[in-house]
Amino acid sequence: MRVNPQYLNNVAGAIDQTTSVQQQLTEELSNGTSIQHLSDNPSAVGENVSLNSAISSDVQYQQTASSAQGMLQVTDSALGSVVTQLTSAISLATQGNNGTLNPSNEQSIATQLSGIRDEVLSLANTSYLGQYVFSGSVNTEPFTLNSSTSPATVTYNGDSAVNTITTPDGQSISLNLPGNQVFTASGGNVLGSLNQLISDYSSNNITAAQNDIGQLSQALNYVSEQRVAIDNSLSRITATSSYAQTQSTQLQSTQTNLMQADVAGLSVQLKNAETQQAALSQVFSVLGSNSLFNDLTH
Amino acid sequence: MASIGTAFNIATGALEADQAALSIVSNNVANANTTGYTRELPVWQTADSIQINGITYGDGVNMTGPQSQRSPVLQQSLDQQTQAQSDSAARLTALQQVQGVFTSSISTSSNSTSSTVGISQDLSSFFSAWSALEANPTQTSLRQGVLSAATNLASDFNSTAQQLSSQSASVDHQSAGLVTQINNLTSQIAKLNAQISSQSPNEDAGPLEDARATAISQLSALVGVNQIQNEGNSLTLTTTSGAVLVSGSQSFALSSGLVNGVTHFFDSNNNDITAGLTGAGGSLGGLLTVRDQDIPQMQSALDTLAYSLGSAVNTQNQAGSDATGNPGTAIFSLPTSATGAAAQISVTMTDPNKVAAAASGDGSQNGSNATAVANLANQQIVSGDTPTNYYSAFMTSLGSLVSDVQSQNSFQQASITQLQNQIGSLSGVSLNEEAASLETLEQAYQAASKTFTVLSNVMTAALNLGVSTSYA
Repeated sequence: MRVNPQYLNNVAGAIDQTTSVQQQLTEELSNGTSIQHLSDNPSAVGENVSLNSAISSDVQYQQTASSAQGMLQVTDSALGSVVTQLTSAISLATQGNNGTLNPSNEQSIATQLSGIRDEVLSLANTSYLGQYVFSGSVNTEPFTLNSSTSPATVTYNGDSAVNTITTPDGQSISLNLPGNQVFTASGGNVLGSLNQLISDYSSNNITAAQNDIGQLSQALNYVSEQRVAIDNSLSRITATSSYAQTQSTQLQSTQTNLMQADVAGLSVQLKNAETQQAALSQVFSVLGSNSLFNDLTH
Repeated sequence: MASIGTAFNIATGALEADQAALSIVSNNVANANTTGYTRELPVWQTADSIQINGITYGDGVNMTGPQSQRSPVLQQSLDQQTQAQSDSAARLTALQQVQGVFTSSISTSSNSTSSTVGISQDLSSFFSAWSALEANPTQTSLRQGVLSAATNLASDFNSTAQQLSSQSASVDHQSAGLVTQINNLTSQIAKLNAQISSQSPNEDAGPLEDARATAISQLSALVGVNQIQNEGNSLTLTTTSGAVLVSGSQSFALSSGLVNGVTHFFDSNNNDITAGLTGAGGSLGGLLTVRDQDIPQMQSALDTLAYSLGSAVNTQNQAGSDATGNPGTAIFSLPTSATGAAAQISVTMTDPNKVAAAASGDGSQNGSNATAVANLANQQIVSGDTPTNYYSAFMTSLGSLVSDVQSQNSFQQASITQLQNQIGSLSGVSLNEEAASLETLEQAYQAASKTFTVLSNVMTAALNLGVSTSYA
């Protein structure tokens, strides 16, 4: 049977092909990724885009969460201090209310209570990174005190807006307590009760002061309750943030499996290509020397 | 009774025939590596017999000339496969360049550097910037971060769109350049048609047909053609869609010209045949497919993404309040429709305080609207898909397109190799075979000359009436 006499060209074509395989393998090995072009593995490229986005959103959430944690910790510690201050105010007031103190002592208690009120007021005006913790959405000092009246009055300049952040899974976690909910709520008006107490001690109105102590205790309980909400947010953020971290690690390892070059496999393939090429060169040298013209006798 | 003179004639004829055959073999050996050469075989024919006194005697051999070992059917299949293969090869080369525009989709989160930033990374950074603002809406640096991320996104949309346009322009340029080559080949084929018809209207024209077949092969690499065999051994060639290129000894030149800034192609009657050439074979078919179908599809996908995303972000920003309590305004400037959005999208907002992080009517410490914008990342705002999923699907379909064309091309290449082997096994010059022919012809020549010598001795003997004398 007659065959294509140009078969040496086919051998040359095969050598070209193994060379190009070697080049491709070398490129994968040196880049460390199994995909050099979109067309090498289109579905993996698409998945890679989604993975990059998911990883970036997890990483970003961890940063946002860490800044929100700062905010919540400041809120929590401010509320903690408010509780401490209120506890000492109640004990001072109770001490002043046992009937053994004279009016000048009462005055001194009133002064001490004023100090406590100023402290609570300044805690209520706490800010973190330029943002007032208890002002709702408004970026102004939330509480101002007017001491010209008796009892002194406190005005709330903020609003009732609550900030939230959204976790990568779409839950929303609240970040702040509006000041009117913590310090001037109707069921636990911290600043109002303190002002009332101060005014009653200043005017030696012990009977009224007794009632005030009751109200202040109620306000103390109320603040503690509010603090639970903040602690709750804080622990949810910590949990979701560490979950996001786990998830991004997981996603990164998925991505590595998807995109990374299989070095051992590639080395084997490279070795195979090399062997094939050596065999082809051998074929070439054997076939090339084989011609009937060599056997013509004249 | 046959005479010695007849035997002399027979021996002389054999010597001549052997010489002619030897020249055919030499010509084969000489052209062993000539592109398009079809090997020739000597055609031996027994000479007409003669009858003398009712007895039939042979009268030697005639060499009626070389015959090319050609198969027009195989050649035509090869031409068709060449058209398909050149079409996909040109498309593949152009698409491989186009996919290079989107290489950033291959970089992973661990190895991505600033140089591998592309639209997908920009999308993530953009939404991350909003998400950072959720917890700290009063920080101007974070607001500025949103604007910077928006600017990066818009400028990457612009540069990607720009790169696609310039790829399209370069493909356009290449396709326009093919017209001259096509016209040269068709006029060459028409001339060969004329020569073949006049010299050899009824049988194979040997080297002239080799030349015509080579020219048609070259033409097939450039444009899709149909071949129609005519009387007098001439060919009519039309484009796949029917525009006549060559008819007998006449060729019809194609021309090209700009229509709305892109090259269009016209037949000799000035009809626009661009659509008929698109994807219809040859490099021209492949280039036009990339220019008129593939790149426009990618541009439209990018435009949809840029337009839908930009509009959704603008709408959401307008729904909120900025740092000074005013209603939000548009961040991106967009054209009125999706067409050209990727090329034209830009950031109009310059003042970071205009970023509307707060819910409508809320103060500057509120980040609800920033949350709402960040959440757009997970909403189906682009053709029923989230922005990232849309982009990811776009990348997958682009990669699949390239890989489909690639496998199509290697399949066609394999089929071409197959056909070339078939044609080679029929028409290629085998040096071994020629060596064998040489040997055989040499022996036949020697035999014929020996016959001549013997006849000469016989003749001498006859002339000397049986006395053997030295003759020389």
